[in-house]
Amino acid sequence: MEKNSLLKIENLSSGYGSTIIVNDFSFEVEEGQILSITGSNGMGKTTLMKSIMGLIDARVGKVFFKNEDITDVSPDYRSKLGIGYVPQGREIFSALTVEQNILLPIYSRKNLKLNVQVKLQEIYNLFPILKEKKDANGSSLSGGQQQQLAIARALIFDPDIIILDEPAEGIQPSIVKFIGSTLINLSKNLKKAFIVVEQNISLISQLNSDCLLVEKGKLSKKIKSSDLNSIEKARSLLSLHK
Amino acid sequence: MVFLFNIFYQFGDSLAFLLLAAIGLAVIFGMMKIINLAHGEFITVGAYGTVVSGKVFNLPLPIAMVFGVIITVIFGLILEKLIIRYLYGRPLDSVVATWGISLIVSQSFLVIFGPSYEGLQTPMGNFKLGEFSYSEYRVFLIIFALLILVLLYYLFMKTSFGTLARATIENPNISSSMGVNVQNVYTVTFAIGAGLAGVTGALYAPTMTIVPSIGQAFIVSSFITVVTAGASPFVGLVPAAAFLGMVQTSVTFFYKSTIGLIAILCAVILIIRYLPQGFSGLILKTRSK
Repeated sequence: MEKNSLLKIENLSSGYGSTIIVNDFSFEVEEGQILSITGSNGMGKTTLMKSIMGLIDARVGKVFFKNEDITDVSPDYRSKLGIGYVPQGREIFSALTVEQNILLPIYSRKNLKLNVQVKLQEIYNLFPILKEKKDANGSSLSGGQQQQLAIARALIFDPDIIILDEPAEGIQPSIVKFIGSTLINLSKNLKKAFIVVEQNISLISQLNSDCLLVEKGKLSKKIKSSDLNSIEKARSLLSLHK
Repeated sequence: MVFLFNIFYQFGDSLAFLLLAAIGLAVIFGMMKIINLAHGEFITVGAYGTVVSGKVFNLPLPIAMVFGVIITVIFGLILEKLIIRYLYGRPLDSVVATWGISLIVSQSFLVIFGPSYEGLQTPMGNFKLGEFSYSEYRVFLIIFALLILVLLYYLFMKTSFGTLARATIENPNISSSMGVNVQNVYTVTFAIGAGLAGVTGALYAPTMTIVPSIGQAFIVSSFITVVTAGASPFVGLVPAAAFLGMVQTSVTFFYKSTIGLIAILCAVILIIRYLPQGFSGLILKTRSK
């Protein structure tokens, strides 16, 4: 494994019941890198992300994080190692307030070495709307606000990498652009790595990162960031219609 | 005045019984969706734990009650580790398994302690109002039931454990991917539910005949109160118990206790028919408008 490889997926296959969805998938993410993963609906992108998080068991292959084999460990252990997760559809806890949603990962960690109030303030500086609504119920937020909340919830415990599954889904373009620039800043300034599963070509182009195209659960194409720096190029290379 | 106090006393007694019968089940069934048909036996363990430890070690009642609750928590933890943890998300399977547990436990009590066990004296005394005499302990039970509810509300709504528990119950997978050890949360929540059933058994032990089926006296009341409370037990439990208590008290006052029980069951049928989400559904709907 390369010295600076943060997350490494090696020949991963996974699925539901007897059906294999993700088939022999391999890739690596380095510290501070943004990696986009795209493909049409039903191609296995979300299954791949759930397999990395441990929500679906790997049938074959390995998942390494900071050189540790995490293929068989539980999702909560993976989270505690430093993997943040922003699931598809955001999955905000409707029974909790905005602030309780953000602090949930903190409550589940006993020996966290960070000042929670300072971290919370940093999160609120990043997403001011969440401070305004901190006592509101999580489900009362708009789609864009919920997406910011889901990212805040993944950021609060200072993970090394965050997996975002379709963060632009159903969100107005201005918020998508804001999310894109936030991810770029976090990657540049705090050396956070991101895996962004996305079908929104403008966000992929804005992130200007390397991109993997998934087809029928397999890695079909690797595209260099330099080939995605305009929407037109991205659209023609990725053969998507969004 | 005495007449009014009499009605309030009867109502409070009925309210305390319904709340204490339901409170452990509200946590286990209401929050974890485990249909725990062994809830009555948890209460039995609490009652026997109190009475037996009180008699054998000659303990003062409050200490014996604490013993009763601790024994029930341990009993609950063992059951959770051996059986219940494999039934989360499988409500129908939980019915069969907990029914089996219920039969084994009640028969075991019959074999070990015989058909009845020497009971404890009801503590505290009586006070008189007009021509009627009232038990101070019954008044204490009313206050204690409400106090437990307040504590439970605080635990689940205001503490970090409560936040973890509510998140886990809403979405265990996503909670787990946020770092929550879901299994631990389930175990602790189940132990709290079992402990609360133990509290009920311990509190009512000095007021009842100690028989292996003592828990059965609570099981119907506990389920109808939890079902009437609806999906969010902490919101719906007090209004549900108050409503059912009112129905029972008023009908019993004018007729007799059997008719009061029939009236409660009829009221529950009407509630399920017209408020399928129970009192909590109605309250949350009104609040969101």
